Amino acid sequence: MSAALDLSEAVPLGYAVLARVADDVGVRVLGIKGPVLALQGLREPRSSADVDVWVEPAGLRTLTDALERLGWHDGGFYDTPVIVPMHSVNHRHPAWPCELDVHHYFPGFLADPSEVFDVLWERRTSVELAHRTIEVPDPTAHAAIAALHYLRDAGRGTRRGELAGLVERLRARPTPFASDMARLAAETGASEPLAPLLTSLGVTPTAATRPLVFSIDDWRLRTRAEVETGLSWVVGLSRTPWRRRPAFLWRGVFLDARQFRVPGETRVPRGRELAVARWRRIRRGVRALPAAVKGYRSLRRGGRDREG
Amino acid sequence: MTVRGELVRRHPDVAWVEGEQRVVVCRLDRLDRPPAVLNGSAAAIWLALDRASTVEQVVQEVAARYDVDLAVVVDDVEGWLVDACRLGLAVREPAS
Repeated sequence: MSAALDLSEAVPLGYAVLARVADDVGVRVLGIKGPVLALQGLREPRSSADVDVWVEPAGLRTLTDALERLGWHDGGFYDTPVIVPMHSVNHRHPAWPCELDVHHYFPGFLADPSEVFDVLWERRTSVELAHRTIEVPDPTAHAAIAALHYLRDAGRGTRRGELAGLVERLRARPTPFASDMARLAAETGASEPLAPLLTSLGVTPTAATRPLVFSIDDWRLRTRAEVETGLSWVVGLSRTPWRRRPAFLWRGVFLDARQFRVPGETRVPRGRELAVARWRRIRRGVRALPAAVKGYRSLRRGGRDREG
Repeated sequence: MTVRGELVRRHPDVAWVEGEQRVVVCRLDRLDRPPAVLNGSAAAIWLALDRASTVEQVVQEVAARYDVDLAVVVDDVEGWLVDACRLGLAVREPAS
């Protein structure tokens, strides 16, 4: 009775699987993105390649260990510098065509991730996927998550289009939705990151109502997608002690071969194929470097001016 | 083993989706096993369990779907339901 699954089958089943695994080990998760957004009317239905959940931060290890025991292995390779901390772990299974992305926080919510999760958990609702009840953020919180996902890479045309589509859908909702979004943003430290969305909805962002644990400057840097190619390396270099910089640069130039895997494949390129991939990457990096440095300096100056 | 005269239901601990001419079923308490893919008449029987609970009703649903006499499908339906119970996709209950 077993045969290869396609994504339209695997993704809804995957949400049910993840919810069940989390429940079995006593960890709270919320299904996010993909078909959940579509079911809540926050984007048009379309195929998804991933199953995304947000797990309470304290339960991340417990959940990923449980997934490992079931053959879902962490397929990510985390060796390149990032401006905002890694926020998810991707799991793959040889019998499943989709990935399970387990998020333990979401960039743009700048308050403590555990507190943010608690806020979203209190507001949770549910949808039905694969004939099972899946707990998910309420539409306001989920719209905020989607908006932050789009705003993080706002330099990309597709993300701008998705954000515009979300704004259009939210404008069609009753007025209290926008003010509820503003309150949620303040509660989760997302007022400034969500300001473009809130302004589009006709509400004014308000000050955070709890302490921020992530830097707004990092968020600003991360959203500078037009210089993204080299920006994370420039930021990483600036944060590396002088004595470690040669090793950092060496790693940047001769990136681990696993980083050149084709997305969705496990095969690691070798020999000439690897050399060509490395050369192309170095060429792209050199071309992007001036813009990355310029963008970094400009953003740092902006940050100092605001602090002064 | 026979299921004639009994009630048959989907196992309460399954997630399932209806795909293109097939149904995929995942036992949530047996996640170490791959999901079961039900094609053709197996998918039709599974879907018939939406509206039917006795084996006789399932036979009627499937026969109506394929527009054939009951006798044509009865053995296949009963045989598949026995297999489904053995594999843990469905459960049997005595008819009251």
